[in-house]
Amino acid sequence: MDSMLITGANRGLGLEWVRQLDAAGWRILACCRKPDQADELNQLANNADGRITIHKLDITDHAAIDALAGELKDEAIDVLNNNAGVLPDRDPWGQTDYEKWRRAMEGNLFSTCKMSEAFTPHVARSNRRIMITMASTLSSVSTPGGGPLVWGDEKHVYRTTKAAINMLAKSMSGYLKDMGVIVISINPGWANTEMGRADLEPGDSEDILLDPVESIRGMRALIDGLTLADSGNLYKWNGEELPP
Amino acid sequence: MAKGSNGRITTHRLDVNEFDEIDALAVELAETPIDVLVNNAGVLPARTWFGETDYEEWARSMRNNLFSYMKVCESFVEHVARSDRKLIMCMTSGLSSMSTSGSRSGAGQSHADGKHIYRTTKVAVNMLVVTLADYLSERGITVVSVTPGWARTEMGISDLDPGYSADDLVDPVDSVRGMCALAENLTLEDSGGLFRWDGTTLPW
Repeated sequence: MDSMLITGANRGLGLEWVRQLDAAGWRILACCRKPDQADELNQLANNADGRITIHKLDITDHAAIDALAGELKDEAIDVLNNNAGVLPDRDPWGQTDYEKWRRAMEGNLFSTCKMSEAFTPHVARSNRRIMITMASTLSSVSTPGGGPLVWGDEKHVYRTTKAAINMLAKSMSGYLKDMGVIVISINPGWANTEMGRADLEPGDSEDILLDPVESIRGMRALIDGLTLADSGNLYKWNGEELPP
Repeated sequence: MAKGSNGRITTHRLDVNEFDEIDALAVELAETPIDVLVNNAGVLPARTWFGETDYEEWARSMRNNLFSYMKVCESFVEHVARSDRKLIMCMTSGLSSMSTSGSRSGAGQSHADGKHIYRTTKVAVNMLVVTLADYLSERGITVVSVTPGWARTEMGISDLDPGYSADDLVDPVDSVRGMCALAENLTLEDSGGLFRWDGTTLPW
């Protein structure tokens, strides 16, 4: 049975991952900060004959990550999906909140690296051996991306965390190649989730947002076709190459 | 050097990690136009391999290499805006490139060289610079990322790859000479660009 460990599984794209992989019969290790409040996730787990287990985890708590990795030490994990992340508030030019920037680095970048370090053995002993990091429409250094297509969109805090994640994925792909582990970074698209909607410009319609069902469907097709030669690549949700 | 410069060189005590000190210096120099602001200070953390990442070191490196650059720009933007040249140069690294590993170690070397902490801080600098270029274009300020090359400095020599000697590194005289020539030639159209010390562009 294919298995995925996914962070941020209680809502948004994370929850849609669980829905689709549940329907496909996967074993899912679903992590979130507050399982007791994750009603939809609990409902899915209750009807999954034990294939879905829910694990309380705050990914900024590195000791908790180590503890979970120890608790799950006998599991093989085909796909480690570093899905959870934060979208900080905007910082107008001249008003950067540096404490928030540090927290965003912890929530998006350091957490991804720590999860990947802690769960390397679990992934290495699986069949598929895939790790995913979450890029963004705004993570490319070579093209601004996003709705208005401008760099100066007051999201430099978020952008720098996501550009750094892509670099981390490049490095990880090199570190883990000898173990046969594939590491890719995927931009899931600007999806119609709570986080995606929060980032609409005034007057924007939700219609410009990507259906989460389509996003996850695309990413599933992408990971199904991966080989070790693809490791270190950056992708969009639909399998297209993401510019550096 | 300062003593022999007839007052043209002034020295200022500043730890770029202390943001209050940056603000205080900006106020102290409130009347001074600054043609070229160079965000030069940075740290090269010791190599750590995957599985042994030092997260405290990573957080400190982000503050020193990335956040401090932004803070200096925020505090000194008025000084630059009232100058003639209006140029901000942020020091990045060949290791900031996503599309080339930037390592001098030849074939087979990859982004997996124990320097993922440093690399992530520097690609983040490149990202910051493209946003800064946009924020400041209306004020006529040019902002670029520049890699000074792997220079024969204390920092450069401390990090030699196996099989390389100090002789293989860029002469700091050449590096700075090249960057000065680059600074002379930059225009607002170059803003947001990623340059090598010799004036060529580094691939993203």
